Amino acid sequence: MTYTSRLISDPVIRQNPVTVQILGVCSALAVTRTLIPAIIMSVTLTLILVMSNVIVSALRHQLPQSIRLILEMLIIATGVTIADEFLKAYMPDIASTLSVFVGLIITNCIVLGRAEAFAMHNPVLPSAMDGLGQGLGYSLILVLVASIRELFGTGRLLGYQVFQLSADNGWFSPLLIMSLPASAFFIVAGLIWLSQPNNPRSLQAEWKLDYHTFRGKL
Amino acid sequence: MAEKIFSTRHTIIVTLVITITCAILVVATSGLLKPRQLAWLAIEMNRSIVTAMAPSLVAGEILTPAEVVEQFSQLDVLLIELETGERSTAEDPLVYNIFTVGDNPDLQYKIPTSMDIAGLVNRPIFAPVYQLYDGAILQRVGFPVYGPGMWSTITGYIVLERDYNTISNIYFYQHGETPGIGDQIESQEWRQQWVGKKIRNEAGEFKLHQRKSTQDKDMDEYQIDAISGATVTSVSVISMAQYWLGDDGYGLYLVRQREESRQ
Repeated sequence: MTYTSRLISDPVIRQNPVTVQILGVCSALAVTRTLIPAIIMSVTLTLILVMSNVIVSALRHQLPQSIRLILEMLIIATGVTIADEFLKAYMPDIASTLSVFVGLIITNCIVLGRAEAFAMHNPVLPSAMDGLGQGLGYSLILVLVASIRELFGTGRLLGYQVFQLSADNGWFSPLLIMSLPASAFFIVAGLIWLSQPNNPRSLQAEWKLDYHTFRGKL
Repeated sequence: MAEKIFSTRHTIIVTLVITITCAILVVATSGLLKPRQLAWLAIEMNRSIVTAMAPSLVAGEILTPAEVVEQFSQLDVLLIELETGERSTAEDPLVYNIFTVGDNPDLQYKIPTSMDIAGLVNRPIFAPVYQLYDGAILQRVGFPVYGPGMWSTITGYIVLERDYNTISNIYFYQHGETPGIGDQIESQEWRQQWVGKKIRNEAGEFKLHQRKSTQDKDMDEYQIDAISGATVTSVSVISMAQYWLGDDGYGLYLVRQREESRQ
């Protein structure tokens, strides 16, 4: 496997930002009641991750050491605000479902975490790949959790009736708990548990190596 | 190169450049997208009046933005001055927003305490009226109303039949009442009992009121039941209707139009 493809594939399963790095859990719990908002949230976060990683990486030799975190936050906040304005102008229904959670991407640990841990030490292209990979990893979890919650909470998927409801002479009666925020805790916890066997601690240690050492190894 | 990221001069310059760039980007996006966002808001607001005026809609059916624009264009919107009940051209009725005009004290009128049954304190001087015609024949007339509920300001529309005295529909635009309790005012069951109720009797006396006792059945066509368990919210809505349809609200206009419709 090449270095670049690993940058993208690793965070999807083995180094998943939500289930392994335990970052960005708040929004994974909050916007996963139905699938469509979860997908929009995933796309938005992935775009912002790539954007912030690219910009931070491009400016990494310029950012003043003493206040680099604040400037990274400023760059992220700008991207998030612009994305939020676009959502409000073009998808107002979804924007109102996501409400504050788009704005809260600013404080999503994945974004600042990757900017500081990866983009500050790596060239632009690998940083973009890293952002994409981490974004896909986050999206995978969001889509999984939202699919389970929408399917068992309402019998629908993407708004289409999959299970025939008992109210309409079918067999399925919706599990109310799936529509409540608490169910997301159980599902995310289950996914964290499932992803443990694939993640011996050594792997986490290996990931800490920076770009140059890593490239030497492969 | 590694040295400069520690220098004060460099820090200040880089910070200024990044801050100004970010500020320009945010302001530009927000400025460019503002008209589009406002257009959506207008559609959201028009959606409620269009839905209120078209009671043939299946409960829970949601109009698409295109349908909202199309059906709203079929409504005649006029502005009236509440104090005289006359039509006015002081404001553009399509732009005038009665629910937010409270921010402008010049367009407010202080309600005399004795008349203020819904606890509004102030009300706008002007109000829009929505008329739906089928050919040359008036079908229904919609009136925006608002007032304090238990936690929040409840806004909505009361739609009357062409006799300007029979309620055809009541529909809520926004409210922040207790979910599962106060928000029962939006339920089909409760709204259904408003349909067909009369505001005034033949002699022109104001009669619409809350039912206090199950005994006086002969008054049925003027009575609205509160919702048990959601008394504060539902009684607020009844007081709101009484205020707005009464003499200090749309009353003068309603009485005059009723006379005309009889001729």
